[in-house]
Amino acid sequence: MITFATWLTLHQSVPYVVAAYLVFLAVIVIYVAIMARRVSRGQQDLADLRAQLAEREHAAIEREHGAVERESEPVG
Amino acid sequence: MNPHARHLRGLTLAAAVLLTLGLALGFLWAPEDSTGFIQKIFYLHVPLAIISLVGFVLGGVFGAAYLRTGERIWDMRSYCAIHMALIFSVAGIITGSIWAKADWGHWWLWSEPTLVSYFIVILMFCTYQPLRFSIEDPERQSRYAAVFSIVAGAFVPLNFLAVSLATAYVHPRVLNLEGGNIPGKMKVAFYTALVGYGLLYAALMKFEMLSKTTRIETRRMQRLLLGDDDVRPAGRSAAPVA
Repeated sequence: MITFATWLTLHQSVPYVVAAYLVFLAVIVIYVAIMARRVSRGQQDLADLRAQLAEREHAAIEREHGAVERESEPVG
Repeated sequence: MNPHARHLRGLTLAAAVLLTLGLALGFLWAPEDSTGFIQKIFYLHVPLAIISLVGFVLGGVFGAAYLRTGERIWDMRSYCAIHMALIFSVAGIITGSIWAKADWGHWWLWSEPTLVSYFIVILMFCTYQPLRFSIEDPERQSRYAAVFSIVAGAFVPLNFLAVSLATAYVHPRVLNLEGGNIPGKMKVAFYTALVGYGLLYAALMKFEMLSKTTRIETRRMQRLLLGDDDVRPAGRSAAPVA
């Protein structure tokens, strides 16, 4: 049974292999983190805008409805 | 639901499973070659380089589809394919450099056609975003970018062919004109990892498309709220716009 220390001395290349895989991991993690932040912020903005738009449309419909009611009220 | 969010979870999961399986096979099952443990970088560097080159070609194919159909979605696909391929190629060139240092004793060899040609391809595609950024009109930006992506994408296989025909290289050839030279178990591990990296590329590209379409939709809503359909996005953008 070989110990970890023996294995390390046998494989001088271990740091290089670890470094290469860490570079890849770092690139992917950084990219995904940036994208996830953008997507979540974008979807939040979108939800806010949709709510604002719905509110505005609702107000416009109510205004229109009110105007129609006023027109149909008997005068005098 | 955003169409780009569909299947994203499944794709990401499949990529994670195949990548883990491929790397596990590579590290625990496949034998080492004469160079020893350092050969394990092979399961990282080579698929990254292959997928990045495929991504560049894909960018050209999507660019051609944009020119043919005029649909903005193809422009966005082309942009995302090239962007992702650039990220993969940067990771590929760094991991390759680490491998070269451990195996050949040098971080970089200017006399090695495979390295230099790959570097030229990356440099060429690095100009894609500045090119888009320099054109303000979105329509023209997309058209010029599509033409660039087709020409540069066509250069990739030509470049691969030219390097394959060269004789004075020390860089090993995994895929050559005769179909490759990877022995038995290594081949299984390599192709499993390659499919895994391919799925990862597809998942990340879909993720980026989701981000871009969300931004485009946000702009559209802002314009709707402002009551002006002609409001342009603030500042220049290299990314496709609605």
